[in-house]
Amino acid sequence: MNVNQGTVGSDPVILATAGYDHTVRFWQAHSGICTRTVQHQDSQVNSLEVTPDRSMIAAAGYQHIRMYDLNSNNPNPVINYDGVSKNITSVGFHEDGRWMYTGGEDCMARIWDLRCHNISSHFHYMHFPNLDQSGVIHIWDLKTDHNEQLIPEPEVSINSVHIDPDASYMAAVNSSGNCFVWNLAGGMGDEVTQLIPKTKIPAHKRYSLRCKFSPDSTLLATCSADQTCKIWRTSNFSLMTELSIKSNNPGETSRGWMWDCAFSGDSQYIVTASSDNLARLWCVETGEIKREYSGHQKAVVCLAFNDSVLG
Amino acid sequence: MAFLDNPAIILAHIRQSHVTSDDTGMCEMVLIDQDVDLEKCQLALVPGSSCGSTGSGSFNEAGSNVTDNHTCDLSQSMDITSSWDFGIRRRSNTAQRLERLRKERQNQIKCKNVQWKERTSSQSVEDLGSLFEKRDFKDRPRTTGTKSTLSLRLEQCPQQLNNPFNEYSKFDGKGHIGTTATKKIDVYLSMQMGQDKVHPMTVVTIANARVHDLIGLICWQYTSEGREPKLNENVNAYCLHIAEDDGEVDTDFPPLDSNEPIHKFGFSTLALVEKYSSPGLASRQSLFVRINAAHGFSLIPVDSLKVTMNDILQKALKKRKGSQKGSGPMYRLEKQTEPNVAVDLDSTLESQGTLEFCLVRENSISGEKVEIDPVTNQKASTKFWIRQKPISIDSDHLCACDLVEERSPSHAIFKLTYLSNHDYKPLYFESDAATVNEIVLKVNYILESRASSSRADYFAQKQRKLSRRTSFSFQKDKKTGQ
Repeated sequence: MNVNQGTVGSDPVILATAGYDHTVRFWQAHSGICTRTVQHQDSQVNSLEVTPDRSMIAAAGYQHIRMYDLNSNNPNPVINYDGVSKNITSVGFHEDGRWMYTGGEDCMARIWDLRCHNISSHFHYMHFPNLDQSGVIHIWDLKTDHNEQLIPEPEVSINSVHIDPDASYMAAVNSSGNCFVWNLAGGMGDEVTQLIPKTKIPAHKRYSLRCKFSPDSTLLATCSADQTCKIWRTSNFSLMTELSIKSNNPGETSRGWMWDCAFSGDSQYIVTASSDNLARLWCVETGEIKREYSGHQKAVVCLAFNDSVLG
Repeated sequence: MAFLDNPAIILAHIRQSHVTSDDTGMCEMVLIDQDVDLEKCQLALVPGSSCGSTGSGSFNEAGSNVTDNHTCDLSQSMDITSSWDFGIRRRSNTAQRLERLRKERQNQIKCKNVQWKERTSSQSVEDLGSLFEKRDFKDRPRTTGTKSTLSLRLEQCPQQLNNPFNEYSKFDGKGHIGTTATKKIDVYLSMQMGQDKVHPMTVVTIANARVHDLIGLICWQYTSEGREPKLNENVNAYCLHIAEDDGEVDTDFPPLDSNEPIHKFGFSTLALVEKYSSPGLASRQSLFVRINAAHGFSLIPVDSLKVTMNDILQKALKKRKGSQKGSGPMYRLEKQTEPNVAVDLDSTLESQGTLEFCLVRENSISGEKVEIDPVTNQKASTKFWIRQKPISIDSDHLCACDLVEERSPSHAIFKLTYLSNHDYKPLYFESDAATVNEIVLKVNYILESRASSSRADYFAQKQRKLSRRTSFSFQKDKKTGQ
């Protein structure tokens, strides 16, 4: 278990966290040891994602998306994506690694072509819906630039949307703490994908910041400003586990928001990022804290977790 | 202008310009000392060069020959001398800032910049359709029921969970090298047995950790490496001592202060030592007894709270210079908080409830003797080279003790007169007025209570002298002391 051996990219488990202290930290997920830190100059990090080939990690911040090499110890970014006027709040990759998509406060979703570094336009692949402050989810057909709009709760900002790996559900959470779930149907061939409202969960009393399905599609996690991350069963959308960082001491003020979460490859564990400068690993079944990742000097608001499933 | 066709002059000018305008000093080094021959060769090759043909032979000779043509003198101007110090030339703040900027720029060059561009409208619907192929996610391979690498690893190292020092793992600097100031320290672990004790554990801490945090980090790493024996879960039970490179703990110095940031200390080798904790002394750093003495203090390391106060006294005396065993003045210990109350030397340190004591000279004035132990005064001894010996005056030989003068509350002198070989000898002491008055009072009590014959004789003699009305004078034989 030598920390210094190998690079982050060669490890079958990659855990990275970032936030307001302008650093991206990499962790040995099972031991809690910080193995590498890279600087993210001049900006907080709003979103992190590892490329599908595990060679790089993208950190989205104010006006930039920066790519860091995972297979070296270079503390500086190797590619800088520029030209966005405001905060970039989410970043992700198409699974074959050709496209990177970003969303931001300029109310634009962008698709970046990673191979020729030449850029597509502001439309969006339909499995990655675009959100805006007025509570509208735009679903784009990239062939036609046609978009469909969903307004689950008018004038309440949608903070996160996720589609499960089976592509059977889409979930969205908003600033009033509600979580909306749709069934996805059709979409093969020339057929248009149908979104059928499935359920509305009053998941939290305060802002909900992130929703994420587990890799096996059986669980849905929602993170909130109420200091909890709740895990729901997708079979009936009942609450399974509540992960709370609330203090037992009633006199103590809030330890801060639960910002982000990610499931392990086998959906048995979940990592959360929160404002109390910590990331934590929880057992999904019992809600027990298994590890704490401590080292950030300020709030941790995003994470990237890449676990491999043993065959 | 007229000489522009003269290569020698142009060369000289170029050399001069380079030397005078180059801040790094490199041109100066190269041109003045090494390039001369080369230049001369070139000069000789230039056809039609006036000096090349006439003077090349002469000024090749060791350079000391007077050249007949001054215009092509290649020696440097008088005010330029090769300084040879270009290698260690002090870099100005500006130069350092420029260097930093240059590095940043270099890093940026290494980083590819990609600017957002709008899509050209030339791509057809079909092109886009092929770029964004629809995919069926419904029949992807199921992974349910299988284990992930993380789960496996968690099972393999369960001890991580129960590490009571987890909160200190954040001070681990291994993952921060290159981005945050870190400090690598070899720590000898005094609690380990056999071979393990001989090899230090290397710890990398972030430099702004406090000593307390570092102790926690050491405990955390010790535990996560599965070392034995298990540590006390209370970080306060341990302290860090300075250690030699071979691991020997340097107990002459107290342990590092827990609240100080670690970057304040330059030590790269330390030793983790368990403190001897006791409920009443839990807040103490470690078992060092502070003994305040007349000039300064000494810290006496003790093995446990069970030691007797007599042991501590003996150790304190051993540390103090000038105190001899057996003979010499006697000392006692007083609690710092309770002056003038002697500590029972048979009692244990544990029963005292404090770790700070005062070393007080015992019997300085007693019924039997007056002990005078000269305090080594740095100034006085260097000035006069006089070794003052401790003097012990038997009370029976003591004749008088009088206040001589009291200039200010901080300065007074008293005189002690005693009989030595049938002679009355005066000793003068200076101290602050309060001390002097106290001593004079005490000594006089003793004198009165003993009514020695020497005192009676002294007063009788003094009376006779007074009756003879001789002028009273004394020579100054001042001694420092109290």
